[in-house]
Amino acid sequence: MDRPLWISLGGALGFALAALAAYLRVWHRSVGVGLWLRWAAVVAVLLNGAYVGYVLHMHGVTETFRHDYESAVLLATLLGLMGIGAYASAALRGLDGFLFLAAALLDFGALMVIDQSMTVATYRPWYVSHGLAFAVSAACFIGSGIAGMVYLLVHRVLRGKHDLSLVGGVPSLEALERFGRQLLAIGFPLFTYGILTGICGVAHRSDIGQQAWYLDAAVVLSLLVWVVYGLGLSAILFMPRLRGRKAATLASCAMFLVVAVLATRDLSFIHR
Amino acid sequence: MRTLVIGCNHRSARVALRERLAFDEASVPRALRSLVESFPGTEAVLLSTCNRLELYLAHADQGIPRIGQVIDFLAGWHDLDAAEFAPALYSHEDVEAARHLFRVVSSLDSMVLGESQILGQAKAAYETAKQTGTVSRGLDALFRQAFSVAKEIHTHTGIATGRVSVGSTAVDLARQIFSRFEDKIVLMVGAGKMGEMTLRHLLTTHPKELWVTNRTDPRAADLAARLSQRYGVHTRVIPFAEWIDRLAEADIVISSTGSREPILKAKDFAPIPARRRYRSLLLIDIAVPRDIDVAVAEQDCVFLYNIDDLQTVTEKTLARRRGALDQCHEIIEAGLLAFAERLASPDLGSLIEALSRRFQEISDAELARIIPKLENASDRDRELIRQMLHRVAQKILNHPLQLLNDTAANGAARVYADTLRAMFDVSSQDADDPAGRKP
Repeated sequence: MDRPLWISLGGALGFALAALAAYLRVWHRSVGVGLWLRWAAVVAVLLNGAYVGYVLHMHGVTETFRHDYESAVLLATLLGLMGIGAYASAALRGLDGFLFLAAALLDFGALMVIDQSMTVATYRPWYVSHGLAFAVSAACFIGSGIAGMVYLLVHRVLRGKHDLSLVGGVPSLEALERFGRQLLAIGFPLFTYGILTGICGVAHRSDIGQQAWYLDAAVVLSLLVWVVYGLGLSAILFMPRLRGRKAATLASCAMFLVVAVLATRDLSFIHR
Repeated sequence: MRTLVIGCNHRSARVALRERLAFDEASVPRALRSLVESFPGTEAVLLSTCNRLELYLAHADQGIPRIGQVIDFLAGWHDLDAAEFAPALYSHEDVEAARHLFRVVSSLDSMVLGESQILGQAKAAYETAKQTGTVSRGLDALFRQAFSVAKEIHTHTGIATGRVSVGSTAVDLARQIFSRFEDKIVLMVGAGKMGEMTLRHLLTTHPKELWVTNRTDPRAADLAARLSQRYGVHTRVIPFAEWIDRLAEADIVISSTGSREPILKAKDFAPIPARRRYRSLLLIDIAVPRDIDVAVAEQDCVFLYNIDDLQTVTEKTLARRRGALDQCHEIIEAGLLAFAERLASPDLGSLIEALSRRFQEISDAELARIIPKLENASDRDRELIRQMLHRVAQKILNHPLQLLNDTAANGAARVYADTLRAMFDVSSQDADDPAGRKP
């Protein structure tokens, strides 16, 4: 109990400091905080990564990701890495703060699921790829949603003809749109893979019996997310009219659906 | 001498009103002549830019012309009802008028604080008025002092530092919309100076191509050639009839034509976004009257900024420059004081004229006395004697006059002027009245 507490608090603090530094750099033009930003985020990523690595070493892959806490820490680590990547990219610098903030919230939120774990039935090899695919696609969808929200902010400032310094340090609309689209393009196939492996897994489970697994809350919401992202991605690729603000709105709203999927695992009888 | 300024600017009048009150370059001399004919003895300078219309007037008599008369003149010239625009006008007299001009040319009253364009525009307005013959001693001294103050402010304060102008704001806008420019096409509509200045800023982003279009192709070709040479950008001249169609390919458009009507209307633009596959399009309309119908911006992917919008955008980024305002105001007040002292200082021009006249009179009197006595002198000898006397008089006067000129800017000039008057018996009346003669 003690170790996860300190890992989460340390990770959340590191990401929060990085987000604060990004905020100061973007909106207050504070010079000299870049180093602080980089190291706070790097320390948080290393802390989270080291913890996940330690648990993997001690308990193996399936046992590790059977627990909600480790999955949440992994998701926070992925978002933190995405934030460091955004900071390193000249076109995306400014988006890092939002990603670090999401990582900090996830790290902190992980404390609430420390003792929660999946059903023993998930202790199967297929679960590893299922869980990892969901974790990476969730990180992509959350990243895409954050990019969408920032896009909407910049779009609003530009269309409303407000002070440009409000968004002066955040990426351009073009960069945000491209980044969001790329994350969707990575996340959607992985999410599809996660759903397929989930269906395969549940089909081979004997413990479910006559229960209608397809009515499980997590399954229903996951399928809903898949449909939304599927339609969204198709629309963005094949319906140019839905580019820009509409695509960003879709990505932002869909992100909350992803969060809902993660939050409803407690209600899922096939996961517990 | 009474000085009066009356006009409107971007703060007192919306762009829709300013564009109706604007004078184009060609009509300014005609307007100035008409104004001076309406109010004889009045000096006038007309400053008409995108953001302001101001009439600077000076007259020897107080109360001429009255503000109402000037408003009536503007109403008559533009065929407008005075009630439509009079509430948007402001006016200042005498010291306040001078202070206002100093603020204007120092760009403290500009849409973009500290921008340098207004100084050039004010100088051009002053030169136009001089060439038209509507500037004399009153406004000449005022404008010269204003330019001197502006120079000092721009040199010694931070008011003009940083990247704040219509052009640099346009670049900031473009950078907030696009992340890379090597695949972007910039389209310039019109070949005006303001548009060119904005374009020069945008070309620092190194776009893929620059397209230029203008009603007169040779001007477009000339602009394209100059910019291609200066920035190494690939340029192309687009026939004016085709430019709307080419919006399907362009990414950034700067429009700055002299058209009285919008040249891009919503119905003409309607099919363009679909053809562009809804890629973002930045439209910068810096023309007054506006070139682009505001309804064009209803599309999500279109970012339309006119001259008023740029003001809104730049307002906050100018905060740093505002920090230098106190120092600027100190310089302006010092300039006003210097100007007031100059006005109150002895009129050296008329004193010099009176001194020359006095010496000429003495020479003529001596010649009149001596010539009759030179019975054997030829006409040529008499002319040589006259020239010699004239040269002697000039040489005697040369040093004192030089001294007067050299000290004109400080208080010593008054002492020297009074001394010279006393020494050579030149009264104030002689100095003021060119036709005056000593009894």
